[in-house]
Amino acid sequence: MLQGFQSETNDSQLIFRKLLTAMASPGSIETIDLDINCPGNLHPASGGILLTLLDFETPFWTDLDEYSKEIQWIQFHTSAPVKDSATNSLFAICTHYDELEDPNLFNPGTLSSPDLSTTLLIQTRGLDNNGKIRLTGPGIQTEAYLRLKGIKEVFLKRRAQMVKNYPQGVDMIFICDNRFVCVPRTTILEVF
Amino acid sequence: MNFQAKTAVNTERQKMMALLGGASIKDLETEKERLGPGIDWNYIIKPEVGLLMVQSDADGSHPAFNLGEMSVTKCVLEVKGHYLGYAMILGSDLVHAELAALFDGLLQHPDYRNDIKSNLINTLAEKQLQKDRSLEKDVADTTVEFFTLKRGE
Amino acid sequence: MYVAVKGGEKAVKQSRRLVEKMRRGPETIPPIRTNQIEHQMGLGVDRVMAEGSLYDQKAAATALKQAQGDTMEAIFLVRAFRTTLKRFGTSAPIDTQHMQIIRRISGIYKDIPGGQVLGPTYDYTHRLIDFDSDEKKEAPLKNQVSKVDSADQEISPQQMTRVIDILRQQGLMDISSPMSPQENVEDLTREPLKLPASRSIRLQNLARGDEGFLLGAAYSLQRGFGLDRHPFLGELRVGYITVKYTPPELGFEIIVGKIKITECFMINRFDGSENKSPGFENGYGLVFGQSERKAMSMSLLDRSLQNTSGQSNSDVKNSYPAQDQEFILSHSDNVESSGFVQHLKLPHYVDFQSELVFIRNLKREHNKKKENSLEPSI
Repeated sequence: MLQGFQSETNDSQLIFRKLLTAMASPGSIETIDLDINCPGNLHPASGGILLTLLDFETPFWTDLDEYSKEIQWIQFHTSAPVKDSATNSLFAICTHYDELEDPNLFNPGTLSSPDLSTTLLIQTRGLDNNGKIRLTGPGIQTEAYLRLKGIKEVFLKRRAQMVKNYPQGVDMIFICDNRFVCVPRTTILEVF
Repeated sequence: MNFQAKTAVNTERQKMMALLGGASIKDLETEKERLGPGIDWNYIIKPEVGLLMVQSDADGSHPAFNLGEMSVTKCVLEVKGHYLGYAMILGSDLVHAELAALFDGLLQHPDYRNDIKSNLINTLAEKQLQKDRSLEKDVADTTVEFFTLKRGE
Repeated sequence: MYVAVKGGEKAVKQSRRLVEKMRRGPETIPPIRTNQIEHQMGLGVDRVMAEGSLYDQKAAATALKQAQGDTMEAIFLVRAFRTTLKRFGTSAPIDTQHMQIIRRISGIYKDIPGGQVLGPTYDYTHRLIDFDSDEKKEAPLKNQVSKVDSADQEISPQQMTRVIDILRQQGLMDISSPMSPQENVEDLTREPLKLPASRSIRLQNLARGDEGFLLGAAYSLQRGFGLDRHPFLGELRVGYITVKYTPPELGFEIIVGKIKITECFMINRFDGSENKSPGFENGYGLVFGQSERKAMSMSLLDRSLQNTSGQSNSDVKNSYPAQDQEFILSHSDNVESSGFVQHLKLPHYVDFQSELVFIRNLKREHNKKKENSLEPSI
């Protein structure tokens, strides 16, 4: 079994602060400069964010096998229960980006409790700000651009539609290696 | 190593873990010194203070409810490259949790098991028994006996 | 309007230094050690743990020292500390039937199985302050370590049948609650209080409630503001219970440690109704540490706060404060109540300015009216 954080308190606080910043400024890419040893197909940023946010009360959905070493590692360190239905989970970690087509499969929360929605972690093949996905809206001065390698256009187009359902929606964290970028539900997406 | 849930309750290990959790640090450190060098381990979970919510049972006179939280310290070590030593003890003593996890790991190691059992574990068990009996005696002395007096004898 | 603020930060820093200086007291007196508080002021520590809702003697003792003995301030410190810690999970339901008993009495049956065990209590002391010097008082206690040999009989917890079970066996008391814990027991630390509250939530609220507030409320019940008959103490137990937990990553149950608790069963007569036969009902109290006053008060309020739909006694038709869930449950937490009452110390300068203006206007009108209504001849 691999270790989790080197320093639980410091590392989780560092990552949490970066998440706050990234959510507040959608489209800005954050880097996690920590030594996180996660197994298998989990990227260091995914591992770090999951260790920070998950605990025994946060059910999560995944496209990884329930008995895989990645999930064993997550459960060992967080005790978070795995849910077989995406609509019942507070978090989701998707590693097969090529299979991701419909964000509506996840829980958008309810009108009275929009916070019950799924926060979606999606691993990509690469991410940078030189792309054709245009972001505007709260937290973005004028506009921001993203390239998310491996993410299907149909997924992004469907996500673009979801913005009108506010306050319901799904907040997304796109990840590659030790970097991540956030696209909260309030962000307006256009795919060129 | 397989970390899937084992359903059988491991009673002897449970008892030994409980003794390690209730031990004084002095006893644990003395034993560690006695065992000498060559005991190496890696941190899987560094000693960490956290909470357990204590829940009452439901017994027909009242429902289960959350009474309040207690401080516990958790530590998981990989002892001698292979054995997973686990400790979750009452309180916030990081050193104690680490030592308890270390011995839990060593007690799974065939080269150390019997030695530690006949030394440390025996000592701890004896001390605990004395402590319990001493308390019981003090408490028993405060018991009121109601006698029915017999006439003529 | 704005008032210039000068020297505020400096004053605050000095205030903190001064309270620390006051806490330490004269240098000629040796400082109190935290372990002395932990081991020699255990009942104070128990209260801080119970109302801080955290069983951690070291934290409670440290808080009491830091707060100069101000219990509620110490409770605040413990609550704040609690919020910084991660919750690993929930224990297995605690088994109070197998308590390592240090005190166990009943007010309803003289001859209970296992006997009346008086245990450590101030109940039988004469309440005379002992003004002898410290040295004189400590001397005789040095030789009181009990030596035990294996021939001594141990008290088996099994011998101490619960009074409540005796009443049930005799058909005098029904089962009023589930016999095993539900899946997800409600948690007041996770969801805000909603009224009417379930019994689980009420018990959790009372367990961490202010002892003084609950005691006063219970007293009011006994004086007629909610009870018209005498309640009875079925059983009071103080002792240690083992806390067990099954870590998911380990897969089997472990014994985490032993904690001291006080448990109380209060018995009330129920004269019967259309759908329920006469018998006895109980109120329940459970607290961290040795806290008998609190456990007893809690058990009295547990009964008086039953939801109206479940009320069985004719004496609960009126809603006295101790029968009112909103009154008791909303005001029982002393961190909350202290916060709101003491917030009045915060600057309310602007609010008060508007009060001043309002009063001045009112006074003007009042004087005008007085002038106009004055008799020509004074």
